[in-house]
Amino acid sequence: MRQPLVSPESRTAASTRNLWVRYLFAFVFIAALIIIGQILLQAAQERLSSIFETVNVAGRANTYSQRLSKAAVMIEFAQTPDELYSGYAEIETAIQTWQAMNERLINGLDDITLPAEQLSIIRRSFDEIAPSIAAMDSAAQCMRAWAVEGRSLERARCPLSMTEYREIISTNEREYLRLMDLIQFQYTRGAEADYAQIRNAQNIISAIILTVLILVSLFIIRPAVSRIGNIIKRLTKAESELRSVNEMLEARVRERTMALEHANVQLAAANDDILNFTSIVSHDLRSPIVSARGFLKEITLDLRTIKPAINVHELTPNAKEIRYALDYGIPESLESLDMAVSQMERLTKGVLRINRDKKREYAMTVIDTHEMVGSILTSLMLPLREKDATARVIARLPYVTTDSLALEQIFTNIISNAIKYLDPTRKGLIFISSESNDQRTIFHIRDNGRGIREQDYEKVFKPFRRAGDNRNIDGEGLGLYGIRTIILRLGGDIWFTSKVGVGSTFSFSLPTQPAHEPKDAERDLTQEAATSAAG
Amino acid sequence: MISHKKQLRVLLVEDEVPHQRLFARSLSRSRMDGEVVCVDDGQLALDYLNAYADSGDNTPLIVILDLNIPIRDGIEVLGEIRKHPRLYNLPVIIMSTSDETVEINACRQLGVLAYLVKPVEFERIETLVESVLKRGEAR
Repeated sequence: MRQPLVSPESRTAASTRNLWVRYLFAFVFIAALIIIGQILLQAAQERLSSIFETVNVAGRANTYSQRLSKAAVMIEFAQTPDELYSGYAEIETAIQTWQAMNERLINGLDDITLPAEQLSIIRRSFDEIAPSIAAMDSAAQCMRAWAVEGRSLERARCPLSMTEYREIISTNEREYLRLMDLIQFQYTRGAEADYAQIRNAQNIISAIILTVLILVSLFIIRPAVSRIGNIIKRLTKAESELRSVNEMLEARVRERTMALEHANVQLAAANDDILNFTSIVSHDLRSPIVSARGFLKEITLDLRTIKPAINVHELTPNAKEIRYALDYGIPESLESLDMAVSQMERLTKGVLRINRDKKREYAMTVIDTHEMVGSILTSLMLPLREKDATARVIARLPYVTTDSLALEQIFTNIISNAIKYLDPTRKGLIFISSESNDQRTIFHIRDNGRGIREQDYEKVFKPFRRAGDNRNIDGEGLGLYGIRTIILRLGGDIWFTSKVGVGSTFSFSLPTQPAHEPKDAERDLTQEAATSAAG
Repeated sequence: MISHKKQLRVLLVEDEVPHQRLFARSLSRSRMDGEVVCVDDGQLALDYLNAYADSGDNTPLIVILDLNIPIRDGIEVLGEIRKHPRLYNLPVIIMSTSDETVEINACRQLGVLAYLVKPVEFERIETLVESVLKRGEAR
């Protein structure tokens, strides 16, 4: 498919240019031939028309020669002076016109193009006809003069009789007519020959044009048509390829979407599995933990029973060690074991609580967060007093539509955390504020506590991790992890800013409008609750 | 109190040995003086209860039931007891490590004397047993 050096497009372009050049050349050639043919035709027509004019003049010259001889007869046989005058007028006109025509014929010969053969015959004929013309002319002049002057005509100028002159005229006229006919014939033949020549030239030109047209159709139109066909074929092929590629892509998209959906289902199932698994493990862990605690207590009781009965004599070789074990070693071990077991218990409880939260269906209701935070702060009065801390709400907190229990857990956890990590060296301050727009409502819980070190930032939202110095601070360390899980499920987010020795601000957002509106029943319940609380 | 002695039988349905032992120890330290029968799966518990019902034994019986037990779980056993023509009224105390609402509610619906989440303060069991015995005396 791929042409490494010349693309099919550029090859096609080059040969298309080539075709264009050929086509232009052929067009110019045909046009030139047609123009030449037209010029030849026009020239031929001009020639023919001058020949026909000449033939026409010759014909009229014949007529006038006849009129001349007729006028000569009229003069010879005139009985009355009127008849004589008519003959004179006639001969006068005839001579003038006839001679003018003869001159035109002879002079015009140079302007006429004729085949050489006819031209030479005509020239010879004109030479032959010249004496007859001269004879006729002088005889006619004398007869004209006689008609005017009568008996006073000089003998020297016109020695012959009128009859003789008339005979000269008629004799020469016969010769003149014969030669004129010959000339006319030659003219016609020359014109015919010329016409035939022109026709031949026309035929040749037509033949050339036809040949050129055939060549054009063979070498220009045929390749052009086949090229167009190829282009159409290529385009069609490309189109069908494109369509199949499209279909393939669509199929792939469908496939991927299906795979993705499948993966989603699997992921959800895996998630459920994990939830179930952790839940089962935590449940099953509870039983041995309970046993361990029970037996720790048993040992403590047993030790209490044993201790007074044991009377370790000073002289016993390792009396000191036994006493130490009884008084410190065993009790300390038991206490440590108890602490460890207690921690295990808290962890399993925490895991169970988070799992339970994850499985719980949220019930969206409209909540007055101002009221909620107020009651939470009241319930946290004791730890606040212990830490000598104050918690304040800045401005009225808004209403949000979310799960009430979840929101209470969130506030309680974050505020408890703030109390827990207060700086014991100064009076604790906790401020709760909010901001909201169409998209989301954000709550800020700011404290002047110990702050979080930068290297501990990433541990804050991890399960089973407590950031920084956690001595003397109880809790299973699941708090913020669990809270973040809940907030994410509610469609919000949680983040914080912190500076060591200055304090931290934990902020969380919730969608101002939840993904689905609370049902009417829920809203009614909320209203009812509000009413009953007011009452 | 003396009069109740030897007149009480406790059926402990518990599959884990440490829990059985802890129960026995607590019982031995308590004021109660009864006979303890211990079975470690649900089917054995039901077998014992059927035999008890058929024998016509009049010794008061209290069932202390763990929920997470093999073969037939605690809730099944409780259900069977409540369906039994003669034993349906038997006092049952649940002792479980689970504090799942679902399970607590299921047991409540079937009817239990108490649902105790382990670890259990033995005094609570003592109090419950005493109240049962007193009511039994009144009847």
